[in-house]
Amino acid sequence: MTHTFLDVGVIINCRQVNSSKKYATSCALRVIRDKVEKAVGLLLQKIENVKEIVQKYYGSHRTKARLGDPKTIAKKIAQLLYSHGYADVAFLFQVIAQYPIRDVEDLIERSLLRTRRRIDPMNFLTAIYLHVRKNRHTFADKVRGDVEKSLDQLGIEVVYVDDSDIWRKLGPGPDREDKYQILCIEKYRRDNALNNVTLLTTDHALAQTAKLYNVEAHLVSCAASA
Amino acid sequence: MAGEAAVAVALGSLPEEYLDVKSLIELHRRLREVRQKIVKRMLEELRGETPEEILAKASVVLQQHAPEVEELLEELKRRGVDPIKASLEATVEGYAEVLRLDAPVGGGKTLADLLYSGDKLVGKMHEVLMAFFMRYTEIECEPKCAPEDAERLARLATLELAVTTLITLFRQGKLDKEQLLTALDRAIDEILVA
Repeated sequence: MTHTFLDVGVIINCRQVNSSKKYATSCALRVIRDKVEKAVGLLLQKIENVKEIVQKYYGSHRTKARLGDPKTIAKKIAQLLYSHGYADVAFLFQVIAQYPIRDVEDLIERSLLRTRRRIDPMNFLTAIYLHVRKNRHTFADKVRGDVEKSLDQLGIEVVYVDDSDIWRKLGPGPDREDKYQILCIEKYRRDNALNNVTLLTTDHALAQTAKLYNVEAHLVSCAASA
Repeated sequence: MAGEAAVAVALGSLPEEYLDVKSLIELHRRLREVRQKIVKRMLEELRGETPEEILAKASVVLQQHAPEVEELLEELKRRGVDPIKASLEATVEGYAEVLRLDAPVGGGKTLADLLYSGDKLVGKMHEVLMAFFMRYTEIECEPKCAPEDAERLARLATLELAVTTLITLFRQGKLDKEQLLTALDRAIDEILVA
């Protein structure tokens, strides 16, 4: 039997459907947590640039055409940031677009939907910015927990991998997170004497790296920029 | 009691900077007059213009005017109105209305037009308004305000009065744009933790 694992790109960018059994490692969730933490730090630093990108795009729209549902706005902001070279910040909005993050859902319900039934993008961006400004030290952990809960509800099993050695031994470098995800899968395979494991990924480079560790990888096309 | 007076007199002062408030009932109009008197007194008595000084001053002046406000509060209570709950409800409505962003701001423009034009000061004021709105909508006063929520509302009301004073100082030319931007950004931190 083949165990099919999802990488961070697939978890965050692809709409998950309840089909054949799939797995995600605790390491992938750690990467998501760390990327959200990084995105929060950058959003706090670069809020004026982020606002400018959103203002320029929506500024040419008529008022009513700007308004939308929160998930669509989050997805659009992620796309805009990605195309303007802010992929790290885009990650945060992509997670919000893809998963129900309880704090964010509460914020939308309690505050934003009281202004209008369809939300203004600058109201949405500003509310998210202020929320992470207030909760900068806890937000990433909450997101990790909420993504895990959603995966569980979608029938994607999150398996725990003892990563203490793996992360420490990996040197710094742009592909550190890629190698980390793959080494975690490799360790899980060894620890559980599994014959076949497959990785679904959105990233060509990660698929290549996977081959080096004898992990079969399949490219999936549903990137944030698509 | 001073807290209750602060909430009654200062809560919701910011949306009134943007909205036409002709429909205020007589008692609310009188509360607004007291607020204007407080802001005027603050402007006369302020020696410096740092947010800390303004906040400290707002707290003191609000306390000094509490007896005057309490008379109005007693009248509200006699009519069966819970002043804090009523202030919170009206304030949330006021903020929701301003944050619809379609209020006219002159020259045939709306708040949204200014916000999407990239005006830095409007952007910062929008953050301040959203920060207050988010905090107020976190508080539930059903069926009554819990004492800790009433205290939090009093702190937010004092901050709202301080921000109103900062804006007035800017309009009077006593603060420049950069000073106001910095002061408002510091006020946001205070609002988020209040």
